[in-house]
Amino acid sequence: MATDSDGTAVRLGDLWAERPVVLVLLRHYG
Amino acid sequence: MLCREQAAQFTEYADAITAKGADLVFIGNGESIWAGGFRDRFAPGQRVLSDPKRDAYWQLKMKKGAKTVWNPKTAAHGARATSKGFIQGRTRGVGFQQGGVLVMGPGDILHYLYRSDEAGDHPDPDEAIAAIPV
Repeated sequence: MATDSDGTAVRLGDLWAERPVVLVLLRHYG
Repeated sequence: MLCREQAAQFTEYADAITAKGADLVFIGNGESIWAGGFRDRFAPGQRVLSDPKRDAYWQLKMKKGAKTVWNPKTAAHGARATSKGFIQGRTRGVGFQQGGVLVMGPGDILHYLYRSDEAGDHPDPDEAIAAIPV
């Protein structure tokens, strides 16, 4: 489970349920 | 600095990703309160999620550890990013955690997975775009 920038919880599987996603896992926000 | 470079690089390809029918989403391991500012500066218009517990990083077996940061290759990557104008900001997240790129879906189908070996080891966005199913 991740959170959107407004703090809303996001289930990652929902990101690619309907269409493909390019998911970029960054190191950090530095 | 290296995460800034990667975010900016993939953001440049956002239209190409959308044109192939896919979404572009970033995840950082810092707290969500930092995600908006990072997005506005380095990934404008894109969706940036936060995973401070690093669940996705663990599940995808992304690499981590001091050696993934303190090594000659990362020094070279840093020089590359600096030459492009990126500067190091405060570490907002776990600095010893590396990331990667995947292409998933639709459904739970993995089409592409790249695990960064060290900080600054980023895949060519064209590789990921080529893996998007048509």
